Amino acid sequence: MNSLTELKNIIQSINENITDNDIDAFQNELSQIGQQYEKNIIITSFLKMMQSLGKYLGSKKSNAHIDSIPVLNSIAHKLDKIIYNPDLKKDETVRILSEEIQKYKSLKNKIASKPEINDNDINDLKAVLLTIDWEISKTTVQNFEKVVTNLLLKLRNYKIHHTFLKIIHSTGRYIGNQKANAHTDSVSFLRSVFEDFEQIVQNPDMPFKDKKQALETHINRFHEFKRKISLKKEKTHLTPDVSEDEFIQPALSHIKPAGMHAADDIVPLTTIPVETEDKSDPDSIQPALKNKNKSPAKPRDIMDDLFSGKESPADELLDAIHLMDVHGPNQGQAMNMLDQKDDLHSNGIKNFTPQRMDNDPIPEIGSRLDEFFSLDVSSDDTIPGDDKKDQALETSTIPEDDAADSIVPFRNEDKPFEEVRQAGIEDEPLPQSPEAAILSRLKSTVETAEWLQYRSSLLSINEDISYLKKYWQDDPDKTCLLQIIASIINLLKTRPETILKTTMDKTNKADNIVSDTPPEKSLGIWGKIKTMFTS
Amino acid sequence: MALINVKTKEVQIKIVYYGPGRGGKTTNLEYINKKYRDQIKTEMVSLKTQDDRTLFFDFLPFDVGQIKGFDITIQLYTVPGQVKYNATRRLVLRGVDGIVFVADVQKEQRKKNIESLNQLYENLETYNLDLFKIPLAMQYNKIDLKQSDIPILSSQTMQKDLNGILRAPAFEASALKGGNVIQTLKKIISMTLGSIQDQLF
Repeated sequence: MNSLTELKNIIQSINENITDNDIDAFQNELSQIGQQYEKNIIITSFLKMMQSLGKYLGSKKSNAHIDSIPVLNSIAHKLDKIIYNPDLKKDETVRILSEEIQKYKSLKNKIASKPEINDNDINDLKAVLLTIDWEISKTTVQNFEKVVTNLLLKLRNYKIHHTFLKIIHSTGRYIGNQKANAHTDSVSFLRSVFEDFEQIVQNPDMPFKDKKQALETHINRFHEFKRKISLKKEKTHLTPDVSEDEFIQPALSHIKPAGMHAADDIVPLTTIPVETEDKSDPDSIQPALKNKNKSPAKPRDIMDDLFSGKESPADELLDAIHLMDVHGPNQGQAMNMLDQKDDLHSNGIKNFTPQRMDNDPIPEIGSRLDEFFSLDVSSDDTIPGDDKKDQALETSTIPEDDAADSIVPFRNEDKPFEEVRQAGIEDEPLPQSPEAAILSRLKSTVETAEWLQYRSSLLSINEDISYLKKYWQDDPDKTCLLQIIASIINLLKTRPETILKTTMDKTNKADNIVSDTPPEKSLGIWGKIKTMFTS
Repeated sequence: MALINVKTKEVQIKIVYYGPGRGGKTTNLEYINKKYRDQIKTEMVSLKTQDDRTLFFDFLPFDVGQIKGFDITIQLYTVPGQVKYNATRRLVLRGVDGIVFVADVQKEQRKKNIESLNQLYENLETYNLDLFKIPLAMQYNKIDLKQSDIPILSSQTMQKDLNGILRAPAFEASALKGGNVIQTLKKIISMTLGSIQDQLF
């Protein structure tokens, strides 16, 4: 077997696995061939390139650039062609040599070049990891997959970078699959891998040894993490009740350790009801009026509140993003800046801090929210808190068989009011039915002239009338009356100045009268309408 | 600090959804945004990363219409739940008018719920706000997990852990499916507006 054939066999072996023995044998064969063709400049050039590649492969072995072996194979193939075809013209051999030199140089450049990863790439990766850290959703996981896959492709020739990315990819996918059930260390592990990866990318001059050490550390941590996950799985299956009975200091117990309410005192909860259970209004869990008479709310010093500045919170936070290191060393500065008073106090603007009061929200709040959320009118504003036995500690529940569409917000409001009465609030002047509540709302809306100024109020009135018409469609008298009311409302709307002027006149008149008796309340629109029917 | 403009008859209140990481705060807002898109008419803003400065929160403003002639604007915020983002949490809490504490009913999240609530108390203190006085609703989220194999805490345990001293209105919820999401929201808005109604109406 001649040296060239032997060389080809060794290269074949190197193609499969690079060992020191193969590299030594490879270099020996090259020397022998070199001695044989020492006067042939072209062949000597081929041999020099192969020697150089041999040294590189010997030092890097499996970490060698992915293109190294193909280039070596190509050079060896062309060398073989030239040696076994002595009749080849010189021009042709020079051309072949030039092509191989080109490939060799190109490989050298690739090896010498830094990984093709720029700041944007690393920022994109950072962004998707932080996004996953923030919230694991379908979109965030998709973005993660996209960015990491792109980088894996881009850095496939850089073994260390590539391996880092593979760990990141694998961990991220696990988090994406498990979502909230992912191991609690998952995100912190992902972040630590990324931090070292970022360092390696941003410090291209870092010694190979250090890079390798960092990678090995994370590979070990990755295996450790995988073990933890499998242990967690086993634990979940084997010990279903891990911490329910464990005593844990309740929240805020260090603030009010001997508070007026012992923890056991609060147990009366409404547990998740079965379908047949009578479901009380979920919003009735906070009997806000219970202590109103016993301990009236302390009057608040509004003046103090008036002079505390407030800018749009969104603007403040956006400023914080762009101008300050919110999480960095300048946190204090960020907070100070946000505390600066500004000139936002234009006339008429008041700020104050809401505090839990022992009063019931006015009915308009409840009805407005019901309307906004497209709910029926019976809401917690119709159920006083005073009569509830457990102050603020009942739990509003959702049905056990909680299918996606089966949860109807304010579902209990569809119940007739009679049911609510049975719940122990008979003494409240509740409306008899939903239409009565709508009628009541309609009455309260049109009682003052304010509705004339707002289009939304008119729309609301019209909606109420439409609903009542529909509800009373079998009662021609009521329908007829409703039609008359609707016509009058529309008439008044077209001439708002008349009614407003009347109201203002009455108000002014009342202001000018000094009397011990309170001024008579204006009749309002409702009153006027009633007068039309009674007069 | 509720912002009230008596001239233009506008009221703006800020509700913050607070709680441990991955407890379902954003899911609450997403559900509200999705379900009431027609009424809300504004976009939910989720701020991600900006250069190296990272500040995360979700922001969902919407007008609920008029109450006694006042235009009411509600601003819903979430805070980042992860422990390391406490600076951001403090920022988002600035000027808060009402809080929904979203706790995770999973057993393994028990300590995190408590830690998060304790930290909420401290963070509010930096603004001279008192957790015992500010309008607050508790939400025990992911209650639907009881149908799966995932171990969850009972509502009684949640109450003992988190609400024994506060005694705030509490809701079991499934933010993912929308269960009690709106009830919680309505309660906190109603409580917050109720607490300032003497200044308005």
